[in-house]
Amino acid sequence: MTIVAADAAASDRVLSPRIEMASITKAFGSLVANDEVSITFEPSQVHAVLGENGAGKSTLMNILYGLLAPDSGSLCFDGQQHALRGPSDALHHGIGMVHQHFMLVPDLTIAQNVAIGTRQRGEKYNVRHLEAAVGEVADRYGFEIDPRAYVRDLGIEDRQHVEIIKLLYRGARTLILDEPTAALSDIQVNSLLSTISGLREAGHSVVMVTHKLDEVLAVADRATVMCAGRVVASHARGEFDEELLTRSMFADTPVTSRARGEVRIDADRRLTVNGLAARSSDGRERLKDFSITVQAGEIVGLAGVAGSGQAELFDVLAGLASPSSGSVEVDGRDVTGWNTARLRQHGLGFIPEDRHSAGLVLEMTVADNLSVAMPARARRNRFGLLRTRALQLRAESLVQDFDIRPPDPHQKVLNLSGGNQQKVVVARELASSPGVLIVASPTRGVDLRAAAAIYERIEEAAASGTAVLVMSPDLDEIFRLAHRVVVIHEGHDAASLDTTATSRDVVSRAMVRGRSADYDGGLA
Amino acid sequence: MSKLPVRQRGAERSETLRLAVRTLAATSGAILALAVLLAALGASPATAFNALLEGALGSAFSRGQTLMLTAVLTLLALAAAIPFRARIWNVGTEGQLYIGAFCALAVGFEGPTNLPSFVAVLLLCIAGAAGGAGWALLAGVLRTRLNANEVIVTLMLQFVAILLCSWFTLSVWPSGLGLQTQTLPETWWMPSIFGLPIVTVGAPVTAIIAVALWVIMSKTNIGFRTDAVGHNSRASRLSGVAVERTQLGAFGIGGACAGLAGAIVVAGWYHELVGDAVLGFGFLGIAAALVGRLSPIGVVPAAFLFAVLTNGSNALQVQAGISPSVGSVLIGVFVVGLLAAGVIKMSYPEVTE
Repeated sequence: MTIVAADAAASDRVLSPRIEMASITKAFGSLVANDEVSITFEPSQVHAVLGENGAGKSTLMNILYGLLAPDSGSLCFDGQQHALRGPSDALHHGIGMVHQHFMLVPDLTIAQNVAIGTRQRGEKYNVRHLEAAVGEVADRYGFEIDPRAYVRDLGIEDRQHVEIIKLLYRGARTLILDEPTAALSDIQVNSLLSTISGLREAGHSVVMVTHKLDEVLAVADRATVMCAGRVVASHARGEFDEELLTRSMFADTPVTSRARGEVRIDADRRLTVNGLAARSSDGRERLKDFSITVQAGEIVGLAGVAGSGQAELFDVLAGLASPSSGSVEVDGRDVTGWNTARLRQHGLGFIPEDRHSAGLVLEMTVADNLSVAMPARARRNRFGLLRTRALQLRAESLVQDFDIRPPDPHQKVLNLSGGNQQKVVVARELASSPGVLIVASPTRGVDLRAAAAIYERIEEAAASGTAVLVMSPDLDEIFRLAHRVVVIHEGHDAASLDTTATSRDVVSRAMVRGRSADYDGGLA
Repeated sequence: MSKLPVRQRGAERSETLRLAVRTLAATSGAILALAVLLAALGASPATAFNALLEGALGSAFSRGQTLMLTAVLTLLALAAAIPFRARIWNVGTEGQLYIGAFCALAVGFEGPTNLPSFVAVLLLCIAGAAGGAGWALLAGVLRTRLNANEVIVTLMLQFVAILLCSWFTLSVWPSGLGLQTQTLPETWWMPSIFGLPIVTVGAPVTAIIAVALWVIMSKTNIGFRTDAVGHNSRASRLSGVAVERTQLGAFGIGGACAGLAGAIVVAGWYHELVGDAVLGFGFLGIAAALVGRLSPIGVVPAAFLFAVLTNGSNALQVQAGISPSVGSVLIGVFVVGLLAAGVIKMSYPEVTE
C-alpha cells in the first residue's frame, strides 16, 4: 500500500490522464438519465459539471467512477478505450470520488480510515508505518491533520480532507468531488477552493459536481452544463460568465404559463413567518432570519438551491423542530413552538417531501393512513373504541373523491403506486380543509396524470381560502402552481416575485446569487 | 369497493397459505431436529414424545402446572409483544417480573394483616403490576428523553432486578431453605379454582387480560397509534401522534403485564419466591410473543405450546433418562425455524429519527 504513495512521490507532479467519455447513454426504465453525453476531462484541470437536480450529473459521475455501466458509449483513458468493471477498476485508472455524504468510520483514526481496504494479501499491518505514510501524503498536499486523530473528533472540513487524502493515498489522479461545498460554511468553501487549486498545481485533475455558480467562477477551468440528461453547454475559462451559465442551466424547459382564471386573494394574512432561524440536526444554522407571509387564497412557491434551509423551514412550521429565534403566526395567533397535533388542530396541514419516511405508514392500510392525522377525539366513540364504520365510510368517500387506485381502503399503502400513495397524503391533508397548507415537492416521483390531479386539488384548496406554501426544487412546479415565488438563499428570503411578471432566469439567478441589484427591479 | 380485483383477494389468500406452509415446514423441521437429537442421545423418539406429553398433561397436577405456566408465559409474551408493536424492544421482561414479584411480596409481608382476602389479593396484584410498569418505565424514560437504547437498558435492569430480589430473599424474608423466601401468609393467596389446588384465578385473569389487550390493540385509538408509531414514527409524528407518550404507554403496559406475572408467581402459584424457579421465562415469553406474531390472542397458544414443552421435558429425565434441556432445544429450533421461514418478521427501528 505504501508502494502507491511512494510511486506518487517519485515525481513531484503526477499527471492525470485525459479522460474522454463519448456518447454515454444510460437509462433507468423509461427515464433516460444520460442521453448521448460526451465530455472530456483534460489533465490538470478543474472541470465543473453543473445542472439542476435530476439533470443527470450523478449518473454520469457514477459511470465515470465505475459504479454504473453505461448502456452505450465508451470511456477512453489517454486514448485507450476501457470499460470500467467497478470503483476499484476506476481507481486503478486513477479515478476516485468523494461522495457528498462522507464514507468514514468515526471510531477509527484518520490513518486507519485512509488505509481501510488497501492491505494486500500477506502484508503486515503496521500502525506506525501506516501513520507515517498517511502523514507524508497529507504533508505533501498541505493538509494539516494528525493521522492518529479519531475521525469522530473532526469537523466537517477535516473529514472532507480525510476523504481527499484517502483518494490521494490510493493513487487517485482524477478526483471527483460531489457537491463538495454543500455542507461547508463560506470560509470553509474558500479554503476548499484553494485546496482544489493546490491539487491542480500538483498535476491532478478535479471534477467538481455542483450547482453553485460562485465556486465555478472562482476555480473552474472548464464548465459543462447538463440539463435533462444532455450536455447543453461546455465552456473554457474566459468563455463563460454567470449570466451564460445560469441561462444554460435553466434554459431547456419552456415556462408553462398557467392558464389561470381570476384569482381572488383575500387580504387576510393567514401565515406570517417573522425572522425565523433554525438549526439542522448537524448543528448548523441553515435557516437564518427568514420571513414570509401567505394570504388566504394565495399559493406561494418557495424556490431555492437544495440545502438552503427549506427542510428546516418545513420542520419548524410542522412543529417537528423548534426555531432558535423568530416567530410563526397563523390567523393572527402566535403558534411558535407548538407541537404538530396542536398546529393541526389550529388548521394547518402538511404534505412532506418524502412520503415514504414522513408521509405514510406504508404497512398500514389506506383507511388507516387517511385517519391517522385526525385528532384522537374524532377517531373514537364515547366508549373509547375506534369508530371503525365511520372511518371506513370517510375513507371510502375520500378514495373515490381523490380517485385513489385501487379503490380499496383496506389495501396496504405499500401496494399502491407512487402517484396513488401521494394522493393518499394529499387526500388526508385536504380532508380537514386546512387554513394553511405547507407542501414540499408534492409531485416528486409521481406520474404526470397524478401530478395534474394533485395540482388541481391544491388549486381548489387555495380557491376556497387556504393559504398554500409550496416548497419545490422544481421551478416548473412552482411556475405551474404559485401566484408568487419567494426565493430562499442561504436561509434568507432573498426575493419575492410575481410568477406572471417574472421569468425563470430571474428566479434562478436569485436562487444561486441571493439578493443583488440586477433583479431588484423585478421585486413584486 | 365491489370493484376490488379478485387478484388481490387471491393474493391475500395465497399470503395466508404461504404462512401456513412455512409454519408447517418450520414445525416439522423442529420435530425432525428433535428426533435426530433424541436418536443421537440413544433414546427412541416415540418414547420420548410420549414421556413429554405425559409429563405435561398426564395428570391433574401436571395439567395444573402447565396451565399456570401458560398463564405466566402469556403475560410475559404480552409484556414483550405490546412494546414490540411500537418497535420498542423490551427484552428485560423477566426483570419486570421479578420486580412485580418483589412488590407483591412486600405488600404481603409488610402490609396490613386484617384485610378481606379479595381486597388483599387485588392490592397485591396492583402492587405487582405497578412495580413491573415502573421498572419498565425507567427504561422508557431513558429511551424517550435521552434516546438510550432500550435493548441494553432493559436487559441490564433485569440483572439489577434479579439481584435485588436475591438480596431481599436472603436477608429480609429468608426461609432458611436457600434462595427462597418465607411463605406468603394465606390471606394473600389467590383463590384456587376448578377444585385443583394448584390452579388459581391467575389463569382466568390472564385470559381476560389477553382479550382486553386484543381489544385495545385492534379496536381502540391506543392500539392504532401504537401500530402507527411502530411502523413509522416520523410519519406518525408529522400526523400529530404523540410519539413519546405512545412509546411510554407501550413500556408501561408491557411492564405491568410482566409485573402481574410476578404477582401470580408468588400469590397464585408458588406462594413464595423461589430464586431460580422463573429464570429464563423472560426469553421464553419473548419467543412466544414472536411465534404469536405479536397478537395478544396469538401469544396464548404459543405460550401453551412452550409450557407443554417446558413442563414435559422435566419428565424426560425421569421417564426416558434424557436431559430436560431437550425441551429448550426444541423451542430454540422452532423459533429459529420460524424466523428463517419468514413467518416471524422483525425489522429494526429506523435509526434516522
